[in-house]
Amino acid sequence: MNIKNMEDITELTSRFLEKENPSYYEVKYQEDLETSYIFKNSQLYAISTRCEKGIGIRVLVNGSLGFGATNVLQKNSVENAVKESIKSARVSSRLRKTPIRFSEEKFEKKSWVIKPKISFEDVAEENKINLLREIDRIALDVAEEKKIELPARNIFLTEIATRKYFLNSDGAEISSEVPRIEIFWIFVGKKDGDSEEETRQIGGVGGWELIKRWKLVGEIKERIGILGNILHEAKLPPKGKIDVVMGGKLVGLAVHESTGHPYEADRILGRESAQAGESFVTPSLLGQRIGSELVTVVDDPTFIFNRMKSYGYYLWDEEGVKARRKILIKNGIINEFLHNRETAAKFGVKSNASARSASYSVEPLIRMSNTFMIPGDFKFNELLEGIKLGIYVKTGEEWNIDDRRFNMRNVGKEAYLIKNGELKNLVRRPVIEIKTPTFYHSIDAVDKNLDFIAATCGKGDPVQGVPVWCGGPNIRLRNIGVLGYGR
Amino acid sequence: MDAREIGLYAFNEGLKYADEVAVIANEIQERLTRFANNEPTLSTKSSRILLNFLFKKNKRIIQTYMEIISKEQIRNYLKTLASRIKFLPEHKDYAELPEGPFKYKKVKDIFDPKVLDTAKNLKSIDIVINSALKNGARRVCGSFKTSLTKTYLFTSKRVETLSNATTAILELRALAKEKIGKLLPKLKLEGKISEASGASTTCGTRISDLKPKEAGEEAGKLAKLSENPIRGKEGRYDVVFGRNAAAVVFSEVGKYFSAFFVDANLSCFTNKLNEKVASEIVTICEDGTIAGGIGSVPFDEEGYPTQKNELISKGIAKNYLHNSITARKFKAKLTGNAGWVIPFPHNIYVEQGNWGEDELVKEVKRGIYINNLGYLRYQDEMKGDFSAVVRDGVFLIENGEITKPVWNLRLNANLLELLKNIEGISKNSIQTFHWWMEAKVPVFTPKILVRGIRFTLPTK
Repeated sequence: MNIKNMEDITELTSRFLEKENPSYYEVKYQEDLETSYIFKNSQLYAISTRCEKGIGIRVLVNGSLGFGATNVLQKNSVENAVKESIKSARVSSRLRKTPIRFSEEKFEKKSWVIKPKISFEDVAEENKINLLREIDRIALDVAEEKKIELPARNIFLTEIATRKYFLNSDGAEISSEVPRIEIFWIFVGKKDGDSEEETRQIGGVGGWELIKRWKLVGEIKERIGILGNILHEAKLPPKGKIDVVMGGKLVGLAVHESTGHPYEADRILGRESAQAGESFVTPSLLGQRIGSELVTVVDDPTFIFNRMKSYGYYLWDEEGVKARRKILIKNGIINEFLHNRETAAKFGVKSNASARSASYSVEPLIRMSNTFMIPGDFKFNELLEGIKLGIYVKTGEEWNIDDRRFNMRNVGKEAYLIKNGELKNLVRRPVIEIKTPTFYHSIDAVDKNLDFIAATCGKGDPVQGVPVWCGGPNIRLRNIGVLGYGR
Repeated sequence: MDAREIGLYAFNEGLKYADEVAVIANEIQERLTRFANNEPTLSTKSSRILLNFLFKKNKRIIQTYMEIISKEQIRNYLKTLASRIKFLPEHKDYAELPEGPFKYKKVKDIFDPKVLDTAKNLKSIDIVINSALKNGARRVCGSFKTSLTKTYLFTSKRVETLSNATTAILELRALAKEKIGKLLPKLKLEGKISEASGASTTCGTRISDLKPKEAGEEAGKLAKLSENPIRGKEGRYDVVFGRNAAAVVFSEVGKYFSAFFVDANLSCFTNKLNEKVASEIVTICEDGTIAGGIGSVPFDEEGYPTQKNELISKGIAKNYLHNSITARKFKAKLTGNAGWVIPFPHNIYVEQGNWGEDELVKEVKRGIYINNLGYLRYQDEMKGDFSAVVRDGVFLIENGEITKPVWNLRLNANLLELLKNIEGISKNSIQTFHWWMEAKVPVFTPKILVRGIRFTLPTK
């Protein structure tokens, strides 16, 4: 189906919708073409492809939202999907006490296309499989050198090409084409019955050219080398109130979980309470101090880093609103929440284009894109200066957070003791459990670096996974509690 | 075209290029109503035809998922796959699909077309909300999901079969009076310090399986009881797991008995067959034939009949879950759990014990009652070390009685140790399925008593 057909089916749907006359409607056609390569313990275990195409329809009737979806792109099925979405909204409006309204926005007719420099189809299957084979082989070589076993080597390569065409009754008409690529691996290192896991997700918007940029061979050499060092050398971490330097990847995860999620306005209003949860943040916290002056956290769908388009990259959101950078915390002050049109209307503000959906068949929800802390002026070594006893937690493995996003846990993977301003031996699995405001208030130095992890963020019912980046500089946290060794 | 016609067309097209072919064609209708703050937030209806296609040629394998229904597009797509497969290496553990035809056991009570009735579903939501409010909740939220699925399966090993199944899952979270105050003693900043929540789920394959009034009552009461929680204390406790929490744990057990994860060395049950992995009072089965099971289906993705498989019998690990590839590699019999790539459990059934639910609590001197678990995350899947957030009804147990709600605690455990420390199992196994079960396996579970689980809490 080409662009013309995409427009045809969407316009046909909108004609049926016009007849039903809802107070608002939107139609989205989405097509995803995906190939996943599963490489397990030195063999290509499976190739899995996905070809998903369909339309999603969202309507506002009697102040209630209805949604319909179908992949049977024929006249009668589309008409039926329109009627079902209207009926769903109408029936549920019987229990709706407060009518849903959308914020007024400026809409455009735009098309944006990300062209890969090397398209997935132009790379031979053998080359893709050889890449996975090489990662596996190098991992084994390093493991041998480090005298550890690697009983679990699981590498997943996924390439996705997505095309969308969106229009709504307020005049938006946005089409897009976006390729994405992702590598995810899980390795388990073992020595004398002891084991440690190494997981990593790397992703971005673009084509096969990203694989070269990611320098995966160097990355796997380093990671398995560290895994070996942990199993051979790491000692128990100190326990109690000490200074902690946290690496950019871990800072990224922390800001995603403890700033991004609790600042989602739908969570603040309780809409996602039964699933993803709520927020410790109340609307009155806007303008209040949550952290030290060094803390600025943004969510930016338009972010490009080192000439690489971010994994959560988009230019218009899935309500047709133009994307922009959102400053969630500005110099320690809560500055802005993440909004779609529904929450923006409730808060009396404009949407900041945070609506995303994972496929044609699910509703758009308030989501993050690329959430990160803005770097500061310090050099990394300056963060260590003046620390008598502390730890540098460069990467982590296990994390979780309560549903209000107030009580977070990070367990370090690659972590070092800091003594008298110098990095010393590796320490094993230091556990940090900390309250969100304590975390942000304890930051007294932020370095110049910026590092990211890719992730697939889950929310909604049914659960929708969307690609995001989480990042930050290295930061220093003064006098925070470390619970010691995590099992 | 309907799903059968499309599936059959794809099957015949595939046979032109492949040695072996399997096609699953699903015709799915789904309704979902989400609700929050005591009113619906979204109501949806979707109708889709989905095609899953397995393609094997010269010991090379591709599987594909298609949402296209045009014959021309299917033909072209399969042609492209056929041209790609020759570049793949041979699968080292290659096994042929099981030879049919098979006789399938009729699975009872898995179909009720009334689950799609919008107006009746809305009435259930009204009942659940009002019941929770009546029992102490201030706000009620959740979702009601129903589905009707026709599944057609064709394989080149003489399998052609059909299953009709429906599901109805109503889950809710009730919130009572929350605490707004200073987020940290030294700060002016005021926010939500704690919430008082309860959760419940009622689910099955037929509308008559659901008990919305009782679910609302349970969640509402738990929320009310959770008001004014005290700060928990770090340490080891004996723990009574309510069904929501127990279901999360047992769905993990089901996932990690899949031979895929065992073979990948990503399961704490690897190399543990015929060894003690749980307390001797624990027997856990996987069963795709349970009457009324949300995951029940007469056949697996390779057409092999589903059956009851013992995973753990009186504490001893007995069987992993297989498809034809893993069964060949492990020199095991087929178990009726094929996923073409990853074998998976259909339903988990935890054998009930002989304890009354109150007796589990009475047995505890100093402990914690947990209604629900979330964010279960592993430090090391091979060992089974994990932590999880406890929620929606967490109470202190003192001298055999539930006394106060507690907050801020986090559970730290090892899956094998947890199973070995199960000391009490209640009498009724009830089907449970909810959002926080990330392994997404329906579980028939009792409540359980586990000794000596460690809890941590955040530093101030």
